[in-house]
Amino acid sequence: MLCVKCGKREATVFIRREGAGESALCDICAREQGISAEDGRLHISLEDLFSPPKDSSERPGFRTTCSACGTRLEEVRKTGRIGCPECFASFRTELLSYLKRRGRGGAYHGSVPRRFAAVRTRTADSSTASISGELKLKDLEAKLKDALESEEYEKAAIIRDRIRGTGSEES
Amino acid sequence: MNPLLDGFLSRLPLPSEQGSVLYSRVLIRRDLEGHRFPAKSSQAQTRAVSVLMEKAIRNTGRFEILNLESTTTLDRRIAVERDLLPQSFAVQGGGLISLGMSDPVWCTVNETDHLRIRAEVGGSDIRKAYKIAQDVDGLLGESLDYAFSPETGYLCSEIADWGTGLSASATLHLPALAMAGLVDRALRTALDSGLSVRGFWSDESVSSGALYELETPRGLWTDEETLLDRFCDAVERIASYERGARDELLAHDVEAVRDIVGRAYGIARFGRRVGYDEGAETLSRLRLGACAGILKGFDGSEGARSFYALRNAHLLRYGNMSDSSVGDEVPETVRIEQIRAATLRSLVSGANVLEVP
Repeated sequence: MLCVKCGKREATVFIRREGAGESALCDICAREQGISAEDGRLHISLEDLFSPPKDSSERPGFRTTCSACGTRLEEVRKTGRIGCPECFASFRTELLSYLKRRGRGGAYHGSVPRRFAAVRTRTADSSTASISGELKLKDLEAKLKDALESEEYEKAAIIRDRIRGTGSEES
Repeated sequence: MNPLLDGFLSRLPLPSEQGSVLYSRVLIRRDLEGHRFPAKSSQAQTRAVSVLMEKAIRNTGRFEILNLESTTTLDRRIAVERDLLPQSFAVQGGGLISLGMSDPVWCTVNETDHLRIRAEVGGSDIRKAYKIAQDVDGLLGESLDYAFSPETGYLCSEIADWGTGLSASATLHLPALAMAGLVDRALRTALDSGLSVRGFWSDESVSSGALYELETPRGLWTDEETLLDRFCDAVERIASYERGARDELLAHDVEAVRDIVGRAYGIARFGRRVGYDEGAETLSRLRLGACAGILKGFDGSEGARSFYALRNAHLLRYGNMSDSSVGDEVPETVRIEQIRAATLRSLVSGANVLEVP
């Protein structure tokens, strides 16, 4: 599991506080929060460990530019257009939030392309959420394979992290 | 005229003869995974998508490919007037359009999206149009990787289009409602159903010739069948209002109807210069007369098709220019009005306004 603060390093410090949920931090971010595990002991400061990000720009993995085409989030906001399909992955949270504000939340029920048709048929009796989850995972796995084949390793790392995130949502 | 384009236009279905719904169309938007969208693409990237698309389209064996650069300005104007493609695409240069060899379906490449599939039928059978477009979508989808996310549906260049990528539209002729002053009220039904409404020839709410375009909202996430069901319900409701308005007029004010049909007949029969708005209104009233049984010998379907035929570029290509009233040494605008008048004359040449319906 990745650190929820930086989104880059493996989490090694797991904290649960009643009424405030859970948090998972890597060594470096934990130390910044006043926690260190040294000498076989856990040292914790009195600072609030669960300060939520002040705005989305503090969210781990927040991007302002698409990794594939260079389109900026600001441009997408102004024009209502993305530059390439990868822009969705780059700005996923912001775009889903944008769509939700415009009454486009909920699950997608329309037709799917050929590469997803087998998944949809197999999960026909499953809930919509389950279908969506499996389709999402298959889509990410296909994209990871394409990125590795074309040696776009940074893009592959982003997709790998999203797969891990999807896996933990499902469990 | 470009023979491919000419042949395709002649194969397009005729509009409904007496019904209010003249045409029904579907549009399916698709973009390719792994490629920048047209607005963000370089020339080389645009060309690469064109090559990919052309190969996939040719492999279906169902289309003739037309490079717009091989067409004349007049050809492109006719294609725009006939709603095959938008004006911006026609003028941008380098566009590709694929015309169905046997079905009323055509595709544009590198418009706002990588691919737009359009299909049209005469009358209100939108599901037939959808089936035609869906078949092509499925065929092309065998060899093309569409951009898609299970969370949002098909990803298009414009975020507002994300979802099924499907839009349905219908062209309605509502002369009785217009005459009774009830168009706004009837069209509110469409608005309440979530459809958008605009005048057929403009984005204004008032339209020449009592023609209106109804369209589904963009970017829906419901399944396509539900979308089409709702669309059909709304369109049928408005069509029934038009029939009701026509029956009411004929039952309570047939002389008013006979008056406007007679005047329209007079303009068509004897006019020598007719502008587009006047021509569209005249045609609209003639068609109302035919549907009401007041005007005999006037083909309602041909009349409906003439809404396109009276447009400027269509007149310059297909209009009746052998008529002696059409001058050679006059400004183009005057010439067009003369050709329009001659075209209307030929439409009503065999028609008569009946004294008793």
